[in-house]
Amino acid sequence: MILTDRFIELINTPSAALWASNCNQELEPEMVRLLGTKVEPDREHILFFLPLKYGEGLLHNFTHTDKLTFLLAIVLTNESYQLKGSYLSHRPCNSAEVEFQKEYMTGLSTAISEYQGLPGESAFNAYYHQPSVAVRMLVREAYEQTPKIGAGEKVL
Amino acid sequence: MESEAKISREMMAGLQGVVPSTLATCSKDGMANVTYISQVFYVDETHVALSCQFMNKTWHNLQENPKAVVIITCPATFTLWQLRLRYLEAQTQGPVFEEMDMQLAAIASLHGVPEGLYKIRSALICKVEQVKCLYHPHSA
Repeated sequence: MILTDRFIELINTPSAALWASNCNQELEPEMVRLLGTKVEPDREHILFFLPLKYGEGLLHNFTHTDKLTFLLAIVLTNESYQLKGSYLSHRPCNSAEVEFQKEYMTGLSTAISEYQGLPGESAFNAYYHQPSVAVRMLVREAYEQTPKIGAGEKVL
Repeated sequence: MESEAKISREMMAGLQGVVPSTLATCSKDGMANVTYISQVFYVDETHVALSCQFMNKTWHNLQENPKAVVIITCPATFTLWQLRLRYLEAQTQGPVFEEMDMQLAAIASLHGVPEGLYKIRSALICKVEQVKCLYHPHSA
């Protein structure tokens, strides 16, 4: 599946809230708020960043499953999509990726402050933690998740 | 930090719907579904109700696997709590359903959603099985 220009634009939007989710062998779900995502040039793979503080359960689950779900939601408009696919690998983030995460979280915190009237600095402190891990994912399907009639339908 | 599986007074701020909560469920074949949810409604200190509006996949997953997890956020401090839930039943009438319907209209207004779009279909009653504070600004 190839991510369209629209998806790439949304993923790169500063007000995009990003989450990843999977489950353990007992079918108990785990989810983690992410610190940013990069779409690879082939448009089929993404690399997302998560703080170890919140992501250990999700990472542990990769020892028995490669099924992975990614949520993209725009704070301002509620437009949202789920991408479903496969976990490929993970590794510690490098310094450039940590800098990228800071920029992403600064943009998101500003959006939270401006559009929702909430304390953006508090949001930054809650979500941004180091060390972090980069997870590579192959995207296979995309689903509409915006709260409206048609939510849940496959779009890509 | 894990605590008793009860909703504390402090956590009530995270149930107001100011910061939308995130809910994850899982199908029987192990594919997770994660979505923002308008309302996590306090039923009593060991039960919450989730507003079912457009959540077709969430609904389907809970029918075959009752385990869910939701993260709620205090809008003032961004304290984060993770609640592990077990789905019990869906209610389409009664005091919980009626109160959720009214509260949902207020949440829709807060988020600038057109009237009528946030219409509750059922209240998904869940038992709170575990409460974990993921982040607290005073203990970070």
